[in-house]
Amino acid sequence: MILASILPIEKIGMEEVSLVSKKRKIISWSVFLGLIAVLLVLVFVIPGNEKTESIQETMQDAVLHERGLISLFGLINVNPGLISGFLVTIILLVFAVIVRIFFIPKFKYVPGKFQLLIEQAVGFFDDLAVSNSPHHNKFLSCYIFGAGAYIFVGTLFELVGIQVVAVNGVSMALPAPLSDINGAIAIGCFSYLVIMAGGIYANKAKGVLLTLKEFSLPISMSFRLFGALLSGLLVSELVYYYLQLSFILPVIVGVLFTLIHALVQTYVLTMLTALFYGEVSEVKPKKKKEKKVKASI
Amino acid sequence: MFLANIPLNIDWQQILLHLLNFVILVGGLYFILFNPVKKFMDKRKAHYEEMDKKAVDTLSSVKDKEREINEKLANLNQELENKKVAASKEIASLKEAQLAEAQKQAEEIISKATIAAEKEKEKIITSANKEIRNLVSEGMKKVMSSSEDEAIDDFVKTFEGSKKDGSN
Repeated sequence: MILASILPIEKIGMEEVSLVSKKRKIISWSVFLGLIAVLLVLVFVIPGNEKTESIQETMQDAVLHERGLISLFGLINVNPGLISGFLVTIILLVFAVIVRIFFIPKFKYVPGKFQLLIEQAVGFFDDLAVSNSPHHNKFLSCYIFGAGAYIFVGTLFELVGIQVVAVNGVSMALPAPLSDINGAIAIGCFSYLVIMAGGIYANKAKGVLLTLKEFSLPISMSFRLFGALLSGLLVSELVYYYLQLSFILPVIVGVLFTLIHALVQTYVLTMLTALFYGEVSEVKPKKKKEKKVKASI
Repeated sequence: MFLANIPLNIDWQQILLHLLNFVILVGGLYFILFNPVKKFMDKRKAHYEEMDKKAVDTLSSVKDKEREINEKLANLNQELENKKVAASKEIASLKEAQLAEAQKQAEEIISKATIAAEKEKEKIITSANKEIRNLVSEGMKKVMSSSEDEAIDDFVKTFEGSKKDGSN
């Protein structure tokens, strides 16, 4: 009897609560969507400051950095990519020092999550070097680890968007170090020199010839890096230049042209370097000259 | 100048600065991060390889010991079998020896008994002969002392009486 008298009341109470929560949801969604609609209208109705430069100029500057130069300690004016490169190096070295001092001494035989991450990074590049160049790989593994870390972190660095003031007084976000053609050329050519060094170490003068055979390698490596990262940069510039494209799209563009590029370009450059290094440093056994047997008449 | 008029804003000085930056990064990362982590990984690898090797060695030594024990067991079984055979042979030979001994003793006993019986026989015969001789001599004496007939009758009676006693 008691239960029968209580239950309907509770049932009614529950229904009321669910109705109230539904109403609240509807109201909050309407307020949220209304706010967005109002803001969108205001964005397009109220005129902003006029663009100081055209899209062509913006694109050209993104590629060539002729105007957006940054002063390096007041000594010389450099491209923002170089500043990004220095910052990436500082970030990586500080991270390495922290790991070296605080984490590596506490490494265990059964690794934790962070230790596993570090070991995976080291192990990945070491395995890449060993599998592609089984004969000489100690220096190669160290080099591709450094290059991989630089390209990966350097590409992701673009997402941080650290603001700097250029020499001409314009504020700008620091780009990826390798979107600067000088940076890409430096990495591409240095990789080529590393490959040549591997060839010389293993095969002496023959190693030089083997490396020179791939004379297009420094150009292809440099411009592959530059082109890949520049494409992302240009699309980002394009998207941010036009207000209408600045909604949602930057998320997709950012993921596509930054995160994926970071992974792909890291893998491509390190893989190519390891591959060519292995090829030129492979010690081939000398072929014995076969004596021609003159056929007796 | 070749170095000064390069398109695309390529600047040798900045390339060198990028290179310097990159070399510092690669060297720094190698000494600070890559090498210690690699050393640790190698150390761990060596540790586990050592453990694996020890396990394999232990396993092989256990297998060797097992084989050794099995061999010993087989040898012991063989030895036991040999000893059993030897013991049964020994038992058989002992049995034969004992039998021969018993046979010999029996033969000795029989021969002794035979000899003793012969002696007894001879003794009995000798005593019988002696008794007969005494009887004969006593008869002769009586014959000599009485008449001839009486003596003969007495002799006959005595003889018959003695014969009856002997048959009884």
